[in-house]
Amino acid sequence: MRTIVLLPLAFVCSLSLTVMADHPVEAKDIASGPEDILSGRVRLPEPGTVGATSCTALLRCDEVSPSLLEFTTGPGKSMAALLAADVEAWSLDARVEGVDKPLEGDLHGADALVPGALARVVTFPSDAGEVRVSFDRPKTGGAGWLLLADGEEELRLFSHFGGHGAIVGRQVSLHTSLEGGTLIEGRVDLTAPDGVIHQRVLGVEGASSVATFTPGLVGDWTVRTIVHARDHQGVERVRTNQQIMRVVRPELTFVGDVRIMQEADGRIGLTIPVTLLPQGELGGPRRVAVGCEVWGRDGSGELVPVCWVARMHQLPAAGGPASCGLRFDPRWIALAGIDPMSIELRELRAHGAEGFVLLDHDLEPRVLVPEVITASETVPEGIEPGMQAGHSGEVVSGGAPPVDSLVSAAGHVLLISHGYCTDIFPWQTSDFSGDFELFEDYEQNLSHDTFALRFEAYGRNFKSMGIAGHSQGGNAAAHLFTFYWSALDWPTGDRRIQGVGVPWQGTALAGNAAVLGEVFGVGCGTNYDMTYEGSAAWLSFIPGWVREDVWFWTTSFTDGWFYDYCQIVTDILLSDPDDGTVERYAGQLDGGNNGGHKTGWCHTRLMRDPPQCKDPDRNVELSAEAAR
Amino acid sequence: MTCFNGPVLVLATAFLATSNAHGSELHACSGSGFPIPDGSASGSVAPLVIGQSEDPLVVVGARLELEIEHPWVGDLVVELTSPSGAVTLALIDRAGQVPYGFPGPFGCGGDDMLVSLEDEAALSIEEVCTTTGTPVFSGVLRPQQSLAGFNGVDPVGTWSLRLIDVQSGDAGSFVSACLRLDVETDCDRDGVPDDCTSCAGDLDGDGTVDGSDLSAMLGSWGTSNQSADIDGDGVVGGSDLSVLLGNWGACP
Repeated sequence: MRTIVLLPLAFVCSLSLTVMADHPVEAKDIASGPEDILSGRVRLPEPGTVGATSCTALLRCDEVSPSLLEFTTGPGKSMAALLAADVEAWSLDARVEGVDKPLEGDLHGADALVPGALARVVTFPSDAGEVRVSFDRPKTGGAGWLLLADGEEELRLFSHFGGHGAIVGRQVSLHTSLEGGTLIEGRVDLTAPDGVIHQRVLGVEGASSVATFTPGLVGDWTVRTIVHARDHQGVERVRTNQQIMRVVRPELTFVGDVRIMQEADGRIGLTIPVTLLPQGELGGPRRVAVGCEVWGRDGSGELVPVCWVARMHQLPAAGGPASCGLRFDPRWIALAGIDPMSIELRELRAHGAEGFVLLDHDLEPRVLVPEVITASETVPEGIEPGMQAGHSGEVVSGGAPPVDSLVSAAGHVLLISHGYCTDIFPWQTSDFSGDFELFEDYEQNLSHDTFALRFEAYGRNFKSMGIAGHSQGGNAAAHLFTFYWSALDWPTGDRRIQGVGVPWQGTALAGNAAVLGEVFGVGCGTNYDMTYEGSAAWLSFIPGWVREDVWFWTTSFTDGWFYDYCQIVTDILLSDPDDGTVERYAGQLDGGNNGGHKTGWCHTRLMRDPPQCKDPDRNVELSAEAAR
Repeated sequence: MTCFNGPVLVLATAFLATSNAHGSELHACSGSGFPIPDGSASGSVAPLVIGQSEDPLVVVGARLELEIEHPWVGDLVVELTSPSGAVTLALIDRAGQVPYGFPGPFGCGGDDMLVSLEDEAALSIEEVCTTTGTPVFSGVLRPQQSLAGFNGVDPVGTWSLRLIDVQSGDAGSFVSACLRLDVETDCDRDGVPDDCTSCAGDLDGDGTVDGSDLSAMLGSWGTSNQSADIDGDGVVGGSDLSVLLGNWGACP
């Protein structure tokens, strides 16, 4: 049974309605066991393990002088793509040395990168040798970019930031290293939100280099690393990486001693003093995820992990001294067998909910002097109900209000949702049966947090729901189940959250799309949450018990004998195999239930293979196995 | 419409010491299940019958043991009405229903309940919902409305336990209930416990109905003096005299 859904209209209006019609949403007190700490799931990864890898180059056409590129193709995929808003008016001439006939360039869509984008693409045979690519810009033409894959996939540029996000006015570092060659020269172009480009030269230090920069503006910067390198055969090549650097204000800073006390209901409360900046000019709710590890000494005096605790907070508009509360069940203390008076906190950190940029991180353990803390009287045999998610009583402002006409819908449904920046519903709904509803909120650029709150708002129409999310819809579902109480806490059945083509670990397209925004317009906008960096920080707040409730699937293009791809332009920017948007490896959720990988299916329509949400076999399974 | 779907009645056993006002317990159970109408505002009633007793009684405390199988207990309203119909208490009213947060606008979504509702319980039925564990409500819990609301009512007769499933879609069944009442005698039927002495007429309490008692009654003749108004009709008169003379002599 399907109910008529009037949601899109409500969401289209949400920007103007939000202030008037905010509704409260209760944040969960979340906790997870020592295994999540020891496995590193709820810890920030080392910054050096999260970044962008490239064996291609994205070059501004006006950087290429005199509109000519010459390079030697390698054994891998080799092609050149001209990306411009008016690309049909540009000419592109590509020739293999010694061959008179130019190679024809075809027009291809690059929707996965920027909706509506077109590229003129020329592919070269493997090991074609010397090739020349030249182009002519129309007299009235705008900016253009040349995306170049020279087929030498052993020469890779890796770029990563020195930290997780950036604070305005504080120095950040960008680290660059090369695999398969040596750096000749390089630079970093940092484009501020106001469009001003700041350049930093990369010092030549063998295979790696560091550039530092102090951003002076809040917002999303694009960071483009351009290096000239020599591969192991001595051939000079160009490599670039495109990333987003989200610069935020230091909204919250930890100060003073954390207080620990046992509350009337027995739960252990942590009061964390902080200093807040006053609300910024942009207004709107400021949400911050705060979490830390709890450790203590067991009977032998050994320091052991007890649990990881976290909660989403909504900061008040006023600045100055304040506090953030965390709370956990005393059964964690009993389960760990520690002396309650020996508790100390580690890895105390706060992240902005929009992009999970790290605001503050307490690197030193904090030894707490509790008032009187007692463990629960009985030692649980394992994790018991109520230990992982508790009733915080703390509310944040929710998203768009529920649609009144559906308030009486009640019932138990499977909510099937699209992902980021969609203009058409991706799922083949005829494959679904039983009670299901469509979540339709088109052409939006939302953080996981805001997306999740919109799920919550819609979920108020139902007693319970499971979610099958495409792409970012999967992230948002996991986020909702982690941080907020909602109808997603109540379904019965096998699979609470199912995700297809979900960028759990991010996608390179987020950064590249941001760079190409100057060509194609901003489209739906830059989405930092789906960058590799934003995803890594976000995942560090997704505990194991949430992941256990997630089923995920990945797909990729049909694996043929020649040039395989879902979308030829995005294929260059992604590591094979990919679905045109999400690489197979980045679609894995550690601790989740891997439903498998299937070839012959791409991320969305307008790609070479059918869109993954049209796979009837999987859809029938999603419908049949869904918790509702 | 009230639906009776065959609940089996177990009549209470009344046992009271009629010579004093010391409390005793009465109970009435209904032990055969029946489906609770889904999405019905009137619900279904399980009668709980307390039989007649020798002396007038009054409730001074109450507990309700209740077992219900239901996949979404937040759908349920459970009301108990005294035999006279004068007092109705909502012991459960969509437990856990909050406009936002946990458990949520549709109440607690857990399965089943096996509870004893008692005013003295440490935890309220409104605050124990979890997303795991069956039955979701178990043990001794405080009801939504205090059972003390029944204090002072006459326990004898048929109590009505109304079970309402206000939200259609999830249906369940009543399994059993036992109403346990603490009662005391209330000979003057004023709702306040008092002694029902079997030596009516011994106005001076010396263990014998004799001339001094007769004298005292005559001295109050025609008044509303409660100590001489043995039958509690509001006036000392012939019916009181008749009781006094009937009990003439030493009290048993």
